[in-house]
Amino acid sequence: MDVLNGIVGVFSPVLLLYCLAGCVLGTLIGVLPGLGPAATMAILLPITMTLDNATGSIIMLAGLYYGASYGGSTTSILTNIPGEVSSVPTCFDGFPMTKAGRGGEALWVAAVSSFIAGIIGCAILAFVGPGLARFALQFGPPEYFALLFFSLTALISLSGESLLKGLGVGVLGMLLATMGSDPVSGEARFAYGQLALARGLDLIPVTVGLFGIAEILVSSEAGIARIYEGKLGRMMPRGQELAKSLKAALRGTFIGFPLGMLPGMTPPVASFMAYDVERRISRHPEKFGSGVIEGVAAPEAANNANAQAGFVPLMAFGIPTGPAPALILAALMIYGLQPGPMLFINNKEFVWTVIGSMFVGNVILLILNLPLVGLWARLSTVPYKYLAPVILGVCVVAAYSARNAVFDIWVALLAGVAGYAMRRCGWPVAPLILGFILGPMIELALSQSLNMGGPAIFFTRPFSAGLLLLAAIVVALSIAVARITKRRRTA
Amino acid sequence: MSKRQHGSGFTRRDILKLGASAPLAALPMLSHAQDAYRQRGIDILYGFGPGSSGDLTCRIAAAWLRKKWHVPLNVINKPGGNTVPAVLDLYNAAPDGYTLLGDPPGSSSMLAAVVRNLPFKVAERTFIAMIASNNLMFVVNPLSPYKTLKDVADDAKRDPQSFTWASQGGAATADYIMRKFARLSGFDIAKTKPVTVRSQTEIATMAAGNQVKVGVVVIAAAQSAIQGGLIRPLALSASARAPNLPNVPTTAELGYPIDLPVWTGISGPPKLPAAVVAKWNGALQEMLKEPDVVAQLAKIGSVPRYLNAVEFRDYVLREAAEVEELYR
Repeated sequence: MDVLNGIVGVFSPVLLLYCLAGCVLGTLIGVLPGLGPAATMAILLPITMTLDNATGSIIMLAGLYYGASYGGSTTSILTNIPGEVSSVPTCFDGFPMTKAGRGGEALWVAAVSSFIAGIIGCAILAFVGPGLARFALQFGPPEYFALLFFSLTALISLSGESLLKGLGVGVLGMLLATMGSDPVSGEARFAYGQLALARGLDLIPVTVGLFGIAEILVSSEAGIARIYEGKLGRMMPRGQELAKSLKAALRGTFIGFPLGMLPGMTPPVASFMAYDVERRISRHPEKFGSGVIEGVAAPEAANNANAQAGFVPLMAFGIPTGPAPALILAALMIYGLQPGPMLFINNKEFVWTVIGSMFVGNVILLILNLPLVGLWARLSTVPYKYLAPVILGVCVVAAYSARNAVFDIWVALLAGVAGYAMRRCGWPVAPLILGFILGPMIELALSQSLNMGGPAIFFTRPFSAGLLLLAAIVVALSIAVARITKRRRTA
Repeated sequence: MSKRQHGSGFTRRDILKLGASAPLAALPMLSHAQDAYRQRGIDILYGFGPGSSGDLTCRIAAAWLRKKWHVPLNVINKPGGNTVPAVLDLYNAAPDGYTLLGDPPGSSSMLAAVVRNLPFKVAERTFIAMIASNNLMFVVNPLSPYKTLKDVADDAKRDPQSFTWASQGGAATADYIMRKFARLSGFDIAKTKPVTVRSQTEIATMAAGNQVKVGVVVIAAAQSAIQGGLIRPLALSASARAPNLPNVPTTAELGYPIDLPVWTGISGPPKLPAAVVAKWNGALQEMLKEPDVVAQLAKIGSVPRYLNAVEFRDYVLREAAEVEELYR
């Protein structure tokens, strides 16, 4: 068994150390909002170049990448600031759980869901990976457009009470995302001659403001002494709750993995879709947003499976799915390892040791994260007057470090005030982020598809036609369900 | 404002960077006590995100100079806005050599053609040196009916309306090569269907998935896909064949004289003192003679290509004029 040999191969002191270093760093940058794996890897790359241990360096960079998706949930659950953009959906139910004293359970579920997704992801990569990669290539712009269009139906779930408000906010998010360079021609849009605006708005300051800073404003106004008053509950969920979260983690894994193999399909899309599916299949969709455990398990699993899946096209064909895998590709090339089918033949031991390290790394991450749960959970009982300035500081640094721009701090503060106002007036915030993420992607896929063969292309390619039909069915069903519940309520 | 940004912008990322370079920086700082330049850390701005061959070239150079000069040298990515914000930061920085720019075609020779009414003049910067270049090639899906570059030209001439190609959205070497190819083979680029992608690797992916009829991609981004049989190279846009791809003919051999690489240079703010430029010229020239550096560059698909300050300036301005003409 190649995989077993690989796992055994990792158990040398040096490689274990690299694996541990990657996982610890990954967790750390996952916990710190704004600092993503790509930026950290770029900084580490010149250092790894001077190491002569190619396997060790790649193991470390890989650990850093999938490790980052573990830590992202921590600040989402504890403070309502998403540690990574893909952890935005984790805020929706994770933070309400903390407010109810169940922060420990949420963190526990986030870590275990990440672990489940990580291990299943590794297994798929090890056993069927290369075969799947070829399928991902068949996914062209029309298929992307259809899939993104389908993702837009999640706006319905995220809208809360009023669909009209949700759609309005979603469109606002899309409009805000149009600022900056036109994804097709590169020309500046809505810049009004201002250089800062010509760069467009970055997702991180917007998210940090809308969620983190707005939360500080709301909590401060309410004059809360602590995020949670009282004795902390248990850390590990039991019985029904445990079963529910494990099932949700499995569903999240199988949503996140296929999406993770598609270049450009960023992790946030997967975690939003996983959250949306949970809400749709739940018997109590109305409870989502008030602290439902599946709402934490599914997106966290999806986000990890997504990261793991990125290794499939990367190893099989040297095709990176995002900025972080692109840096792993660069590191491979620096060591003279050309990814592709030949890598599996010429550098068999290397490939399987790296895949083996992912199994070991996921175990390390679980061991690393579970004991921290109790410690982190206690943060919710720290007096808010001490906690709030620290959170605000973290928000400001996160906003700045995304693009090294002071302008982004102002964006975050403004977004914070806007988020506060929206919450006070009962407008949902989540659709704005989804619109902001999907808007530019849809625009690009639409323009690409139209240039490839006009509007007809969406219906002549079976996969895109199927997805568009599915989107229509989901919208129709949602409207029907909404009508029926309304009638029942009035009756 | 830019001064203040430097003073107050001490972030976790900087701390990480310092942590990374501190052991190297702390050692023999004293030996340079008499040297007026290189007293503190040097920032190399870069107008795109991390991971491209240009970004990696700058990082390789920074790592080597860090060892030689014993000062921290950091590559700082300032992506977005077609590199205008990064270039403007450079122009607003003090001309003391502590703020420089990793300068590919995107932030120099191609900039004026895409961003009309630039808030600065490209030629005003202090050109320091070109250090490396990276060749591109025409690739197609293995099942494509195109067997030679001439097939591509013929088909584009016959039916430009359905001729799809992977574009990087205006000012990019891939687009520039395609326009020049159109000019040389006599088809109208305005009638064709460019499918815009965001990165070089996406061009290879698009060709591999048969989403476009042809793509122009840097060797580094295409090598794996060629080996895996996912894409087929038609021609290398260069004057000589690549050693690792001996069977791929050059555009010149095929009668389309297009020799346009993606290159990486280093530039400084306007009015950078000649002494600083000379110091960089000397060091970079020495660097490109190091076998280690050459080997590292080769691994990311780059070839050393040294042009001194004067030659680099001439090269960029000549290319800018050519781009301007092609995009008019």
